[in-house]
Amino acid sequence: MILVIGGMGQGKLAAVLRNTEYTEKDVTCTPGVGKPVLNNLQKVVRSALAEGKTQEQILAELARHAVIISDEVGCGVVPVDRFEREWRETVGRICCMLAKDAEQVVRLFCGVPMVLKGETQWK
Amino acid sequence: MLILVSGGAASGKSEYAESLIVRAGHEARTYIATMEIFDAEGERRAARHRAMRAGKGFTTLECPRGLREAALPSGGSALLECMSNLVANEMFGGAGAEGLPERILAGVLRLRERAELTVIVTNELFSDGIRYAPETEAYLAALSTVNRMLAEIADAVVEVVCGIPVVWKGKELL
Repeated sequence: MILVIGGMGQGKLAAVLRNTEYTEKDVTCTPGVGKPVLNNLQKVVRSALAEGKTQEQILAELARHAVIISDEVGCGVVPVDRFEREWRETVGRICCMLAKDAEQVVRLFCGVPMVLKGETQWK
Repeated sequence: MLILVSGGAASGKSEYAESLIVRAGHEARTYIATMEIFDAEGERRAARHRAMRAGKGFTTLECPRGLREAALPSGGSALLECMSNLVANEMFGGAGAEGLPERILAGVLRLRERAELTVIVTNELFSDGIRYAPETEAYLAALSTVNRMLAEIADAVVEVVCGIPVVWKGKELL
């Protein structure tokens, strides 16, 4: 699995489509629907938490994706709202676990990729 | 040559950007200031930056909006600071959101053509996970688009972290 991270608007999905065999039809925002590229993990986590799912349940649903894309959301002030705090924490923790399993971790900054983990670049 | 320098608030990006200009050694150095000053806090920020630039030989050109039409210098080096102000001024007090990234890009291309070295300071505002009011979200989208466009045409892209340059592009040029 390839984990692609970066702030909002940094060109993560565009970089995936440029550097892998996948096209737009391979991209989904719903886990487990048989599409290889999962975009907007931070939104997936948000709705899953709202439905009462646990971190482990969310993680289990991500198992089959070849590429997972997530916004980095942890560089702000601790949110006052409990749900916002739980969301931010869960996105961060899940990304750490995904990164541990990932063959490659790529971070985007102003559209420029940096490989944080892995020998080969994309595929 | 065009170098894009980004980083969080108070990350040392201005000082690093200035050092690039000083190191290049061109005699003519223009500081393109984009911040509009409305109050004492703004005045203090500007004064801090002026003090930091003092003795480095910069001439200041005020350009809070309309970079495309500005009386840009010819030759030497130029430091534009900060893109986040320019985009905000264009969006909320200038020609508006319509075609904003293209307008900015045209201005930067013109600057790059005229100056031997152009350094642009921008801002990293995109990883706080906070959802803002629609106009703020639109601003963040516009600035991130401008940043990507600039990184694409830049010879080098540097993120400054605690005063330390992290080079994303063009390592061999720095």
